[in-house]
Amino acid sequence: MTLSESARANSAHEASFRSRYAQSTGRWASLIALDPASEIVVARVVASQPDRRRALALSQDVADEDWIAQLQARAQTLLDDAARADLVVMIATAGADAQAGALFGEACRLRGVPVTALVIAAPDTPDAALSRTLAPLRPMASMVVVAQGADYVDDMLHALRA
Amino acid sequence: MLRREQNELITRTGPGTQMGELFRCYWLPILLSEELPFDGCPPVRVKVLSERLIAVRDSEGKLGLIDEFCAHRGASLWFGRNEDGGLRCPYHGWKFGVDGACQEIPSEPEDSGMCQKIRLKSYPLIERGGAFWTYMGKPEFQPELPEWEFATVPAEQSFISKRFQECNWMQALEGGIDSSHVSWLHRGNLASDPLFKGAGGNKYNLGDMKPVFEVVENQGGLLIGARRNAEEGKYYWRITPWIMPCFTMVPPRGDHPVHGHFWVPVDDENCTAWSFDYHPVRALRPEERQAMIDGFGIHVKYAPGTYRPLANKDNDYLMDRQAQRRGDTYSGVAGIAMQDASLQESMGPIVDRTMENLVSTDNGIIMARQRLLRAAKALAEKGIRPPGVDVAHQKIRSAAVVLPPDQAFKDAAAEALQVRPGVPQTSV
Repeated sequence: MTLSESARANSAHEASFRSRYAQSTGRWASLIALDPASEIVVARVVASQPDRRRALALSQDVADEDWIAQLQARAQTLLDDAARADLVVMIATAGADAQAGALFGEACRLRGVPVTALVIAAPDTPDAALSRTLAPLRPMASMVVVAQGADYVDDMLHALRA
Repeated sequence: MLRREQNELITRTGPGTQMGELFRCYWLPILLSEELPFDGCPPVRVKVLSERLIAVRDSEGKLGLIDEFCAHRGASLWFGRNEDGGLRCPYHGWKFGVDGACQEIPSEPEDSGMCQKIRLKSYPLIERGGAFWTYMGKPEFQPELPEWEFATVPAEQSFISKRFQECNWMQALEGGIDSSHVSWLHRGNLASDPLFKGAGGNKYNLGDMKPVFEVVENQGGLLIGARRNAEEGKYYWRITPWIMPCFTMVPPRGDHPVHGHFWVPVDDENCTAWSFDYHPVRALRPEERQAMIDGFGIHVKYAPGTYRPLANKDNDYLMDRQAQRRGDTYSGVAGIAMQDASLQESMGPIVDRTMENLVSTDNGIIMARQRLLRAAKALAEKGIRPPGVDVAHQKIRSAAVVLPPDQAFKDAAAEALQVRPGVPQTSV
């Protein structure tokens, strides 16, 4: 009996003839921590793959007058950095104030840079705390993830080849 | 992408494998009620989790799932005679009970003790919700009986079917979690399928082709919210629960019955796609039940006398390029179930996930894999019972809701996502 095209093509034998050439180049991820606990997570995951991951800081320890003077230039630099990335991930701990991330995320959105918002919530995190963090991020994020452990950040980035 | 060893771990479910041990923590559906219809009926071959077994409903109505092959010379007990409280191998007359115990060896003296030394591997078999279920783990860890809502409502409120799918279980499960394909692959069915059309929420599906996804871990697995724009700045949410290891529910549409799936491994290159429909508070209407029998909604038409879909790889899934060109169907394959299955089977028996290129909207799939791998490791290394075994995790519903923009679906729809006896599904 002659096999149909699908019956032949779907076999394990035929799968072995699939092209093994690389289909994509490595991806570059920009990670933005929105609170001190997330900064530790970001520092760790960037250190584990420094050639593919970069931390962007929304705040800097500079004098007030310098901060204001540099605001526009720094904002531009941040946006340019984000735009160069293949993947922009904002990371927050449930309960944290994510307003700064929302503003930056909105700027990214207006420039067509998709942003993933990843909130790390312990299983016993109160719903209200989670909602407080999620609310400002939701309108600007193209993907929202609520994970119960920081190890998900590594797993997600690896799965996305970043 | 997964590393090669991760892909191996997550796709192999035979005895002794980590994922196989995970699956052996749960009650799994294996046969429809119609397959063992009366006491003393013919036994039925079952392959599940790479084990060849035979399901028996003996002459006294006792149920059991035992090794398919006679302990004597290895002949298949599918040829067996179901008689007098046991299954007798026709080769030499050895007889076994539904618990696998050898009851008789005709050629041996009764007092030889040989019979007492023989026992086939056996697993419990129970009937619930139109299906027979088995538990293949250690007897001391046998969980409470399954409490999925579709399996506990009166029979007139539910319909269940199964179909053979010729690829690894994980490819099929990932299709159930991957909400982003619906707006593409199934777009032709929302307006035409009798079990979907007419729902108020359909206009949001068709009006906003770029949903935003929100993935939230919960006790039993995941909640995956797909958000689309609705009126007055509000969001239309479709919320899909995944409960470990292989249960998914589709968000409801209007007052149509609610549906979902189990994806149960047959072996590493095949699975059974179980599809159920139920309504929490009313009997299915005759026309709804008939539509399900006719293969609409998430069900399929069968090749006669089998549970293999009529459209299958041997006939190129009845591909219709004219229908594809006209847009009647987006892929050219008819029916939601086979639109999914045809593409999942085309990936090959076990897809090579080291080659894939996931994007951020695939986070539901990424997180499901992570949870499965984590749970399998925790079970293997620390004996930790995985999520989804607890019947409290099984009392879940899918939901479709319209919410203000500042509300998290997990909180705002918390009640809607819980089974509430006597309360209809939350739907739009």
